[in-house]
Amino acid sequence: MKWSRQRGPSDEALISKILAGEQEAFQMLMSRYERRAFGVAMGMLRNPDDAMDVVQEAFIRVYKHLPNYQSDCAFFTWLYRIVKNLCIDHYRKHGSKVKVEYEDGWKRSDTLLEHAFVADLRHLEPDRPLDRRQLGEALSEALDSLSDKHREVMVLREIEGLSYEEIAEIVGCRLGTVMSRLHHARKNLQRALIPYLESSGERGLAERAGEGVGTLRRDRAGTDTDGEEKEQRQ
Amino acid sequence: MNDELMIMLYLDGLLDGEELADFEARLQAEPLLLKQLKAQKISGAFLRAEVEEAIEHVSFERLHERVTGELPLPKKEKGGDAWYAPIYALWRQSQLPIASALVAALLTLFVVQQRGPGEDGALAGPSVELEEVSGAGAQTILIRQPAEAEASPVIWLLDEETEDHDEETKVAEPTRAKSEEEREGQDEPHRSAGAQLEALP
Repeated sequence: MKWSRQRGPSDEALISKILAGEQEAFQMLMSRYERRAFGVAMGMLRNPDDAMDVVQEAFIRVYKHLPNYQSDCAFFTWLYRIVKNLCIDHYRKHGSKVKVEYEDGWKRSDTLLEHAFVADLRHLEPDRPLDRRQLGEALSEALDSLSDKHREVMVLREIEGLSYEEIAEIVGCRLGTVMSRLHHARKNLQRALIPYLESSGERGLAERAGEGVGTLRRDRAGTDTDGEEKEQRQ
Repeated sequence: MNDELMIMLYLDGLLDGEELADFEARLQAEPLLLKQLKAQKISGAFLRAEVEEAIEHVSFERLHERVTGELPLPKKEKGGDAWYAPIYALWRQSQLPIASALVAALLTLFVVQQRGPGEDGALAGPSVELEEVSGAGAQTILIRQPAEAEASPVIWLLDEETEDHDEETKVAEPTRAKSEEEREGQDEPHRSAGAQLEALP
């Protein structure tokens, strides 16, 4: 996702003005980062109302704790950490599962899949009608099943479009850890799509991709899973 | 480098040169590898599409309202610049009896100042000057308002004879509307009516 390039005064200048009591500067800072903050919260929570609540609370915290902000890290990094922590708090308070009404859910999935280059899938499976409703639900479930850490790198890579180095800096981990988490997040999502990509007689893909959709792990507590643990052991 | 790592690097645009050419050639030749790539690509695109769609339907103006509504931003006091601001502030500080007494005192002072100099006994009845004018039986009344602010106005009462006989102008006794102290202390003889009329602007 492409974000517009920053215009106007720098973040530091705006922060100085806010600390001097200029309310307009805070509005400007909010306008600059509200979409990105919402994108991150939406990617993490996958519910617009919850994401909006989290972004609201994040900006309130930014305002209250701005005197403690240290400019040795970028403002967005600081904001991102606040948003992420609030998302994790939200999981703990309200549970991890995103509640989507059945009808709304499948209609939405249909539209989103259309958006997400579903024509490519049709091209792959010309002889098989694609059940987009089921595919959308499976993808949605697979996204929900990602752990916080896997989801985090997925959001920063796919939504924010950050490089591995940038993700490592924001998340506060090594580059190899970022790659490992991203790899496992994508692999889990790939598993969700396997039944829809499998054509008759092609079992190899399922075998290569792992156990299948039914074995997706739900690890919301934020513990590292499989590959990352292996990487750390090495 | 295994296929999964190659897929990841390819998706993130990190393959270049010979590696990229080799991998793209393999994608053409290996449908299974292509399917894996597509599955991962679609997953990311699905997530992006979901967020983009949500952003389109979100009101960020509402977000601003909600945030500013929750923040302890400094707000201007109601009527902060008005002349009654100190009284309003006193009132707000719950010193109601003091504030009420102050307001009452200010109102009394204001009413007293609004009453004119001749209104001291006004409540008792009409003024002496008004009684003289009404008792003179004149047909025409001329009132001269002096230029000086402190001088009293002069009221001339002209009867019917004055109007009928120009040459023998008889003017009723002029009555000068002035304060009682002024009338008592002044023994100046009355000037002729003609002379006084000439002096009129």
